Amino acid sequence: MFLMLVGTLLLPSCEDDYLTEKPRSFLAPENTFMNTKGFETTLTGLHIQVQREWGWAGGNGLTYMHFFIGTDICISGNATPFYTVFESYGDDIHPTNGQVAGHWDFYYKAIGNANLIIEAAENPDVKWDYPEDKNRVIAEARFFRGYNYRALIAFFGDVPLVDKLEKPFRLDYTRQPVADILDFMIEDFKFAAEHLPDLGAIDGKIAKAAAQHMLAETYLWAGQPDLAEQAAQDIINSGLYQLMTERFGQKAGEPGDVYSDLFIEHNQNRGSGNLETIWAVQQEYSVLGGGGQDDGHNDWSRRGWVPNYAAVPGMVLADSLGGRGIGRLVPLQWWLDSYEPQDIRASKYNIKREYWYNDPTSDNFGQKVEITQEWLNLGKLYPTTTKFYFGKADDLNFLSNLKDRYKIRLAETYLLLAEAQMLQNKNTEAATSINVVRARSNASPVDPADVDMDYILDERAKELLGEYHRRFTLVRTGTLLDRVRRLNPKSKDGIRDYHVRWPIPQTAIDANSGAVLEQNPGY
Amino acid sequence: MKKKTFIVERKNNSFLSTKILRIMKLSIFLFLLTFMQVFAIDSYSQKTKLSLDMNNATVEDVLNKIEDQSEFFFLFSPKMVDVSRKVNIKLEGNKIDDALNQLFNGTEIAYLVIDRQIVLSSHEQMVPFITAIQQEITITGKVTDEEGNTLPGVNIIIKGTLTGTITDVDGNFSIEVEDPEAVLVFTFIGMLTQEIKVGDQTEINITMAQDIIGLEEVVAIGYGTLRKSDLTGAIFSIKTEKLQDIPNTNILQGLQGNIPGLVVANTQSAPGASPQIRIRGENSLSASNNPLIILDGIPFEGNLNDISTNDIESASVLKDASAAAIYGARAANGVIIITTKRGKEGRPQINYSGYFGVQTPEKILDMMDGSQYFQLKVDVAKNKGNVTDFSPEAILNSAELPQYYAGTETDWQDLVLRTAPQHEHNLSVSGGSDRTAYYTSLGFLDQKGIMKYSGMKRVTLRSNIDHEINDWLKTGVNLQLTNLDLSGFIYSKDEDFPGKLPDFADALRISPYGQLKDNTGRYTFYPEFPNTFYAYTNPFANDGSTSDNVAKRAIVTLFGEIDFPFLEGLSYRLNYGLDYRNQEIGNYWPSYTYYGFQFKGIAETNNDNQRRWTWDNILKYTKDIGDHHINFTGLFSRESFSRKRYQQEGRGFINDDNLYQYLESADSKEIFSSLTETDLVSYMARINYNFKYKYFLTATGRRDGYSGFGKNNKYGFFPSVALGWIPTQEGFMQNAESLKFIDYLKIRVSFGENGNMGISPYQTLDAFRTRNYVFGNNPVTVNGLELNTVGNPDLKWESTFTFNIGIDYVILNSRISGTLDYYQSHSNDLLMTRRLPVMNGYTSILYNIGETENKGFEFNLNTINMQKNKFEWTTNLNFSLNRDKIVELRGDGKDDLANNWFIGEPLRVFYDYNMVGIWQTGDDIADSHMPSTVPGSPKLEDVNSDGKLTADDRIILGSQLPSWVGGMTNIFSYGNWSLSVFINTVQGILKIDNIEGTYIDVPYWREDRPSNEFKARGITEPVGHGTYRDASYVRIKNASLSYNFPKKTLDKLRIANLRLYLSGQNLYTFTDWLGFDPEADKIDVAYYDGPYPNPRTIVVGINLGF
Repeated sequence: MFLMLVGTLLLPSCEDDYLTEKPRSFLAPENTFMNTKGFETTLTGLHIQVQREWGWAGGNGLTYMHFFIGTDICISGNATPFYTVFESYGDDIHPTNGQVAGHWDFYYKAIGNANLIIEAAENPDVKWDYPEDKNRVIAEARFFRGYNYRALIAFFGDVPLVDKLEKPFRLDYTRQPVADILDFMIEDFKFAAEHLPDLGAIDGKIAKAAAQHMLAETYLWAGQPDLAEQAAQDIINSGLYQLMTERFGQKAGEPGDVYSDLFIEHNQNRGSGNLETIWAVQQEYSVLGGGGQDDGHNDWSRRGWVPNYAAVPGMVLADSLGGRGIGRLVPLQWWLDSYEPQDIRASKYNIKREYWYNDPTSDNFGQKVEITQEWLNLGKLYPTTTKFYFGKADDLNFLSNLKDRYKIRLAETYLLLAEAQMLQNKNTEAATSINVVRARSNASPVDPADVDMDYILDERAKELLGEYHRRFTLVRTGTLLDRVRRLNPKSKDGIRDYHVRWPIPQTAIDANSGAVLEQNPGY
Repeated sequence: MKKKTFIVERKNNSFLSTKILRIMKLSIFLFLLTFMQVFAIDSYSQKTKLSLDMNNATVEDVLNKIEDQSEFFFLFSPKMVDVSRKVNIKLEGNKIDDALNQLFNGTEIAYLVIDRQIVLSSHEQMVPFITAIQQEITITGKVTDEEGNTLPGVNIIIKGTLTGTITDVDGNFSIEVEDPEAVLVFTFIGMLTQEIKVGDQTEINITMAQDIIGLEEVVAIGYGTLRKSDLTGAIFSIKTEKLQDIPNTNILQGLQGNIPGLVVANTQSAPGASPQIRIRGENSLSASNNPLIILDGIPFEGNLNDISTNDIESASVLKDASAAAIYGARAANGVIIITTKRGKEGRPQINYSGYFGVQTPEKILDMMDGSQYFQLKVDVAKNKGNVTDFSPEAILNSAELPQYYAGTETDWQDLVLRTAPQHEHNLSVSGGSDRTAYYTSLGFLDQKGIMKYSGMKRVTLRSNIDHEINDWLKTGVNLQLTNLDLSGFIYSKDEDFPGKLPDFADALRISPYGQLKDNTGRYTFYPEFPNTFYAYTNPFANDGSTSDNVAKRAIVTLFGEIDFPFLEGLSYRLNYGLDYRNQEIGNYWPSYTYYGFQFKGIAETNNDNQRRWTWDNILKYTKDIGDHHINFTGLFSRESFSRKRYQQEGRGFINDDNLYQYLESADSKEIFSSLTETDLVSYMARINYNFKYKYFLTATGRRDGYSGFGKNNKYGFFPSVALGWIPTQEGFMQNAESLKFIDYLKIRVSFGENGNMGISPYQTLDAFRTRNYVFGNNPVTVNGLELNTVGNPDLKWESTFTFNIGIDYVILNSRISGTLDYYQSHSNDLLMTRRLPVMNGYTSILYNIGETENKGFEFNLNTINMQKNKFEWTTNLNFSLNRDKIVELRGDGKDDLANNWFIGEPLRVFYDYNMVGIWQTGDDIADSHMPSTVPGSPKLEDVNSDGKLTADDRIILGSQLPSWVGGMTNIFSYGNWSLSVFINTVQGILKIDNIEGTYIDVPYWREDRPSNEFKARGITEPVGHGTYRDASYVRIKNASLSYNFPKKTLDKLRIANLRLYLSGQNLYTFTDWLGFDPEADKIDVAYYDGPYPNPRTIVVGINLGF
């Protein structure tokens, strides 16, 4: 009897089942890409990746810094070599630098996820809630794919063009010219603009205008200002967006101005009445998924722009000073000096210039602090923007800025439009576009004759400091070398012509053993 | 007495009674008899009395008469038996034998009485069966040891049969044999086996001699046992009796230094921590290097703290490929077989053992006092060079100054450490009747940790029961219940092992002027810098937290064993093991604690359920053909494991009163659940063969299928072969006078292949990772998915091929004995992550590619140094040396700097600049290879002598695995006194030394106090590098003094045995290491988690038996 029992068990038929693994406590592509909900959840994954763009700390990378350090608007404060090598230039930037590889991997992983979605959506067996879900899903994924390629070409120039997740893996990638990547991005953004809804179903989702805005920027990059102008105009003409000109939102009744209202917590989403926002990355204090330690990312902008004032004897952490800064990024004097006195963007609500000793146990309590050059150099105290203040009185050691973060707001669309118009020598129209932005801030109108690329870049610094990848803008407009040499005292001697592009990371070159991934010249 | 009885009741109406059968071919009947020979003979023939008085009657008449008078009936072929012969017969209450003797004496006819049947046939035809079905001879006797004590529970079997008995409580036995030629084999654990030929004796009293060398020991080899002298593989077995005076909470601790080839490192000394175990080094770079542990036949996962050491009888370590091959795919890292105690037939024996002791830190570090600390700060400031003011106000932090002015110093180390009690009690009852044996024990352990808040409480219940249902069916059950309470630790979410509270590392790096409590009496969060995140936290910053952590485990093993009646030597055994473990953790960090502060209270519950069942079908066949002895084992086995975890976390509570019991009231909640399932299907066959107990062969093959591997590679096959030879059994050695000093010698050779499946499941599948996001201003957390891993469908086992050659020897009249082994192993297909171009969308994939090699030498030496009158001194010495190296990594011949893996070098190395001294004042630094450095900073070697210090100057500084380890036990006994001293050592091991990050008082370089070893503090070095220090040590691990009360005294008190002992653990360590314990893995003061100091434990204990 036992032998029979044993005999039955020896039959191999059931064993393969027995040893087959089933994904139960995790999701895999095969049990996710089945219906609209599965696709929506993976799309959310793409949003999360962008959320981390402002401060994932992987590979010791203070990633936020790289968008600003070594450009024309700031210098390093409380310095660490993780980012200062990108300020000193010279021979310090290596293909083996962890930050370089970190950014490369970051964007290609995001592209991989987007590719996975785009390919899976073509499966005819997917049960879509509504037939149009398919193109909307693909549109949103293609938007993110284009968005991530933008960073790659900005940092590295020519890069491999990948439109699917490879299984089994490939080892023979080669670099494609930037022009090809731009064409690819244009197709992605065009598809996205066509199939995305006019407004996102919920704040934070990608709307048609976001794709049109990226399309405008990409056309500019590709040297097609006429198409760029059209794309930007489409947004403005949609009537859905307008610059905020009146006080609004959470602290509309408190001292401040409309520009400071833009950066008050919970004032970024359309739901708060802010009609200027085209796309804001969603963050939320003390909410799971809102960012912070538990979500594996911290929005580094607060730590970057807020001085390490608690290191000044006689000063302690305070919510009114923006919480705990560590003074990584110190805005340059030219930027501080670039505003007209009446420009609200330079008001005391928007730029903090003066400090008082605030430690009650200090002998100097209540007295004004004289900012020393040494403190400024060390990032301890300096005039700075208040955009990224995030003080929580009962949690002064909190690390992040967890306000929603603008990715695209209409002010930039106007400045892109102006750039497109200027490049077509339509200076009057360009000046009109710029003056929409300036008027809101009570700055005097610009004379069409004064509008040139430098003017537009200055205006972008005044309007958008810290919000946008400054390095990308300078690379795109071909002005990085010139402006850094003119404006950045710490970088001007180190920077070489080849520094417009970062090196291709050695890890990518080494792993790609089936073909040569050419290194950028100079490295 | 026990008999192999298989009684088949037969009346006259049974089929055999029909006369038709009388013409049946006798040969057929006799053939049938061969199957019946296993049925022992009933006593009918002995009891039945016959009375007859017949003269000149035919044999047939006599037989008929007997049939009439009794239940006997006769079977014969008239062709062979002349029943017409005339005889005279007279019986007066005689037995049937007498009748038959009178009838057939002097004829060719032989007879055979089987119960009520009597077979008559020619002598010639009957002989083979007669010898098989002989008459019984009852043998009685007594077994004693050399001192005259009776030995209960001695096994006595008739050689070549399965028939046997065991001695009763008084050492008496009674057994019936059927043939004077029979040989009785007496075996008893720890005694030399004796074989006695019955001959014409009916009373056999024997004295058994102690088996000092243990050749007769029965050793667990997996799915069976074997006499030590019959082993062919490298198996080392240890009786835990040896460890009885040592207050180990985990059996693995006891194996340290006692088994050659086994390296046990108590890397964590916290109560409840499990030591790290390595058998013959490490083979694997990325997968597990942990050996497989088998507890009573079933795989055991987890922490052996769940099992009381008192319940363990022995541990066997299977080291070479042949020994381990029966466990195939999991055997590459070796196997440890742990066997628990079982009952023996006899009067119930009640045993109590217990101890009470105290633990103190083995080493208290010298910490800087206030003035030394201040001086250090000044020295640091001077070296930093940007300060000119060295006043306390400028040097110290604002939070330190009040204490400085008040002269208050805090000894943080002293605050977190304590003297901690530890006591353990174990009560067991064992015994058995002729069919049932039992061992039941109840254990209790209460160990407070020497670090505040830590501790372990354990209650165990074990019950092992064996029952013989009848002669061919045995069954049994092992039951283990454990309640393990580790409350007091705070579990960190990311690790399976608890993080510590307080954080000891911080206690070593907070200023003596740090502020312990604030003016409200609460512990401060940051004693030095209230404002700065980078400050170290107060070790007591989480004081007031609750941490409940209780694990319950039940291990039940059932078995049934059938000895097949139709084929002698064939048996089948079914094992079913169920192991269930549940761990419940509940933590609460109140709103006033460091961790709970930001979120206004954090509560967390964690429920972890693990279930493993194992189902073994084992078929065994034992056969002796002349001098050929064959033992076959076949296995079909299945194993299934599942782990379910549920975790909830809540943040933000109205009050601190509900702890973790009211999670729904939290402001924000997080849930987590997971399921892990693995399945294993295995087939195994093993043959143990020997010829004349002189030449041995073991051949094993195992095929395993594991769910965690790729769909193209689910199965692996692992073969091995081993040969043994005992030259001392050969005539040439026995006769050679010059070799007489060798009592015993065995040479073993083995080779084979084993696997390592030590990777987590689901790695062959693509998987997303869940992340969270919020949309909008009224946020509801939503899920997002990101591709996490891309699986490799070809993933398979790592395989290790091992060659082993060994010698077992006994020389000089058993004064010296031991083993020597040399081995080489080569591991292929190592599981490694391969870095891919991220353009694929993922950066790495797990695949099989690397190769490593291990070779080593180990020996064990036992000597009787002195044996005079009542004094004896014995020594046991163990030595293991292992050399490992990486042969290939990713197939491209390239080193892997990211992991510090170098081809041709050991597996775990430190690769860094080599510090050769300290730059001194007056050295020509400017013209050196480190021109920008300053006096007091480390002098790093310019390895390539290019005059510059570059990354190329980094070298391999040494291995993190020891170059050799050893252990030595000396036992001195005098009469009833015994003193045992155990020393263990680990040599040639390098560890990171981060003492400079602490305020441990070690000298540092100063211009007025130069040193060539310790650098100056606060200097900026041109390149970053680690500081390494040799962590070799020699430790007096244990010393115990025990006294056995004399038997005479005890007999009066009706006590069977009484021992008292005094034992000390971790008594002293000789080492150059500067930290707490050279053995710990967290030797460095890591960023978040510090070391747990090694406790010195002194206990007094008692063993009492009734």
